[in-house]
Amino acid sequence: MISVILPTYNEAANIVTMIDFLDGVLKDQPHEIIVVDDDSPDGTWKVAESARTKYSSLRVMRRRHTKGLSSAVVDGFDMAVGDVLVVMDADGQHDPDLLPKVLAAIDSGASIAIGSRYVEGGSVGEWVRDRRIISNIGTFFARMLSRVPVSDPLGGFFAIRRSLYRSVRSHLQPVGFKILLEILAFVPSQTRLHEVPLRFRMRQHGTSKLSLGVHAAFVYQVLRLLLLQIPQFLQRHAYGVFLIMTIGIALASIARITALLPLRDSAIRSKVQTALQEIAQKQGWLLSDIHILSVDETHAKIMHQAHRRSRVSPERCTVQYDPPSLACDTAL
Amino acid sequence: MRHRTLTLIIVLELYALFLTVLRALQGIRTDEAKYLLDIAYPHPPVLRTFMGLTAHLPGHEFVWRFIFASVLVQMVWFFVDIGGVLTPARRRALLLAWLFSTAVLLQAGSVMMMIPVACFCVVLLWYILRQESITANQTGLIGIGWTIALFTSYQSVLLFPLVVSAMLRSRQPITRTIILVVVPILLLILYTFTNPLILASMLDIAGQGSSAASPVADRAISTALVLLLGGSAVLVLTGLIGIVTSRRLDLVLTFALLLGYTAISSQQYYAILFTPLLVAGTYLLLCRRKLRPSFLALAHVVTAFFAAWMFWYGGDRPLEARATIRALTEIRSEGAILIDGPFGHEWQYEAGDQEIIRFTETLSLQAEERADAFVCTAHDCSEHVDTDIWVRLQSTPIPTWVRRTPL
Repeated sequence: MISVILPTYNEAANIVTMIDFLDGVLKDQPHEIIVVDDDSPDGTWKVAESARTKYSSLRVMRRRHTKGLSSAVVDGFDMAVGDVLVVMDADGQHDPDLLPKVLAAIDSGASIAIGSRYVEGGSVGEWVRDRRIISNIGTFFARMLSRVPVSDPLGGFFAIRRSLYRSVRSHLQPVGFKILLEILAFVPSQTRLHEVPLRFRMRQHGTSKLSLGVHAAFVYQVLRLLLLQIPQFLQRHAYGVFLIMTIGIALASIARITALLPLRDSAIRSKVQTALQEIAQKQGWLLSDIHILSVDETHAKIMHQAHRRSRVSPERCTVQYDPPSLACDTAL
Repeated sequence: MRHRTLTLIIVLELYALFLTVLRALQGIRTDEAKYLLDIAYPHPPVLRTFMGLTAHLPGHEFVWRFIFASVLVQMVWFFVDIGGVLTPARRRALLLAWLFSTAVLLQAGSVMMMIPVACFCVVLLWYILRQESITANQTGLIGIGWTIALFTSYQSVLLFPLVVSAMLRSRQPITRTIILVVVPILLLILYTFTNPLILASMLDIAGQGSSAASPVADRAISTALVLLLGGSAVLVLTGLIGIVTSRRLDLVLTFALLLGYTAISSQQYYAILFTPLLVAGTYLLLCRRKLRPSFLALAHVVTAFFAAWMFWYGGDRPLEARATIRALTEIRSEGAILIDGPFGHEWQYEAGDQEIIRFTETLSLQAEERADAFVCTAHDCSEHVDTDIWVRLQSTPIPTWVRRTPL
């Protein structure tokens, strides 16, 4: 049995058309269509309820106290009884005619099938340039978080085997809009995934729900998943992390040593030592508070920072050797 | 998580908290203050940087003490896993060997870099004793841990044989093993040259080492004492027998390196470095010999507590700095503190927001005038204290003066 979840908010103008399309596409197989509505002010849930007389496979969930696309999908999945769970937008941006191809991919052994905008044949349609750029950046980061290779981890049209969904359910924190990313971040790495080209369409009625809050939720989601994946990431890319770490340390150290190379000359070394001791004694400084930045034949640049529990801004100073003198800039 | 495991974690945390409180009551020592304030040498920067970044937060010292104690105590879970092949009674003896070793009793809750080194040693022993083979990715993780350990404390280099042994358990190319083991050491050498004061302080410390110029017999005794504090009389015996009879080159070499280093630079806080090896040796012995685990555990705990009681840290009078600064705070002396004589970093830590100025004969008037307290840690400061300007405080453990006319 196939369960199609349609999360909705203010889609009263689109919902019946969508249900009609889906019912037509799925008429030859056992299915259910679940509308999960976040108590839309335009009465989407009411419109869907009224359509139940015509479509026996239709179920409606009206969520009065919870909102959010991802949580709506999860609630819909939890309510569904099908072996294959499908989610798609109810605003017509996802072409229902693509559904048979997605289901065919599942039939042929995939555990997840995704309508992808970024495989050959797919497209983002008539998006403006700014939205394309933002989507590309988001997709770039999201791909890193997916445990299986995928070109469009942020898609909203996908099918998943119920068994796979159950196995990751306890990990999901459905916040924001990108539930597919959440799922892909926890599926086993050997999961079979298939992508079907999707041409993103313009919505038929109503307005887009993209807002600054949605972007912020996405950033939070990426950061949270990134934190959760650090141990796994380290395990997978330990050697790479090691190399990056060591190269970084080497470059930083070499840069510092280069600035101190004149100290090889024992005469300069002795001058630096004498000047520093004399100045430290005069200022009452502790030697442990002095950091030598660079050394020249006539002077050395140092940083003086008193170590205390409160934050003290360091002073950058120039120490002349002969005669020993000190000139400090204002605190850094 | 199983209810029993959770309960054990909580009990261990309470134990760590208890040890932390005991430690905290003894005041902050100069080395601890050095790390907590992120003072640049002699140790490399990884851990002390985090400590320095949080220095302004309330409860800073206690929180770090507790973190160190917690991590050290919770290392017991690695021994739980290592001892998985033993009978429950033997495994319990192994866990008690770790939890109630003299070094854990004395050093948990101290903010010393030997603690993370000992913890890394436990992880390496877990890889070596528990894992039959390790993956290439795991060797990468060990490489990262090795780099972090080296950049936390120079003494980590003593674990070299264990690192090599762990690396050799994977089937990765030898070139990769060499990169993972040797490159971090080369980087550490490179880092050492980035601040000439690091080398200077190392030479200074080496010169001051209590055993550097002492007779061989004295060195042997102080080394034996550190070894004893690493476990207990019983654990030293079982650990040593276990290591030697196992003929495991990695353990023998690491033990020899530690012993050699302790003989040169004898410090009691190196004791915790021996503890993981002694427990590992005891594990190897328990695997092969018919020892009575309950007797072994009891004898170990009794001797460990006895040693801990005998060598309970008296310290280098760290509470004197705290008491003196507190007395100054009580009379609202908030200017800089001038210190005449030798003093440790604990003065800097305890002084909080107040500046510490080292008194010298050539100190500029400007610097002297910033101070509104004069502390004498030298034998006699009477020559430097002008009683027209300074008046002696009576309530301080260290002779202290404040200005007659506050700044």
